[in-house]
Amino acid sequence: MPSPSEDADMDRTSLNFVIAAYTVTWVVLGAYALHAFTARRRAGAQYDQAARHSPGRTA
Amino acid sequence: MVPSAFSKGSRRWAIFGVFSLTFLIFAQVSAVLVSPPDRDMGHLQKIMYVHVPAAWTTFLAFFVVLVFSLLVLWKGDETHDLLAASAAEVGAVFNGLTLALGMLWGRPTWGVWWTWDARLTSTLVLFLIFVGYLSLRAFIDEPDRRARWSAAVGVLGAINVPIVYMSVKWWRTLHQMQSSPSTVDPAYVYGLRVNAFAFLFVLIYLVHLRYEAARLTRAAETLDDAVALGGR
Repeated sequence: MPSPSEDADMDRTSLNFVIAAYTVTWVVLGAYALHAFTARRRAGAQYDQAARHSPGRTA
Repeated sequence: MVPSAFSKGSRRWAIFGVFSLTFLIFAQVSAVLVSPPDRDMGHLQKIMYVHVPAAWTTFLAFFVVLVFSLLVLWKGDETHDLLAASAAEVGAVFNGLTLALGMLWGRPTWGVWWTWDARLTSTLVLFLIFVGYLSLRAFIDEPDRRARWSAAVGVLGAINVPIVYMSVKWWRTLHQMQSSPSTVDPAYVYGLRVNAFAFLFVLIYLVHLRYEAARLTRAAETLDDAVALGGR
């Protein structure tokens, strides 16, 4: 049977992996959301510029 | 000036984005706080609330790719192509996340970061297929050809989804059986369900963002082409 100190070590290790998993989740989703926002904004700017130079523009 | 088709509903989508983020925070915090430590795995069980919903979200995203890819092959509509591509990109992100989280769960429970087990290998193959799908799109310039070729790869890639799902039943694997509300302890069902919905909302919002960016880029390219033709 594991001693109380071994149990505490195991608990600490488990907790570290849990923290790592949630950190990875937020970093990956956050980075991708940022990328998606930037791409959306850049596409909007590209569209605005194209619309300004378009011969049939109404804006 | 952005046409009304693009700006319409953007406020509603922004609200949905904020809601998705808030719901994700709520889902993760409440699931971690409410669920008791597992008898065998202790706190490690809490990785299930991100790993399993990430896997489900991957499957769902690739199902969306399958549907829109079939529509592209049938009707050749550009909207379907852009939706399939958006879902494929977001799906690949969730697929990569599933693999990374699986490794973080596998190391302390199995003692290894990775093993060439049927479930892990088929998930990696799925990821590589959709990375290939995105690379293919980057290499083909002609929109019609790009749409048809990537739709074919999208359909072939999505066929791998049921293989990944059933791999734990069809082969002897180190990976446990599919986690679902019917196979996990009732104490963990709430966390699994609430996080599944949170990931679903995030998926919908991210696919929308990518689709909007792709649509605006295509509209800008069409306008540029019109200017180039008019200038001749």
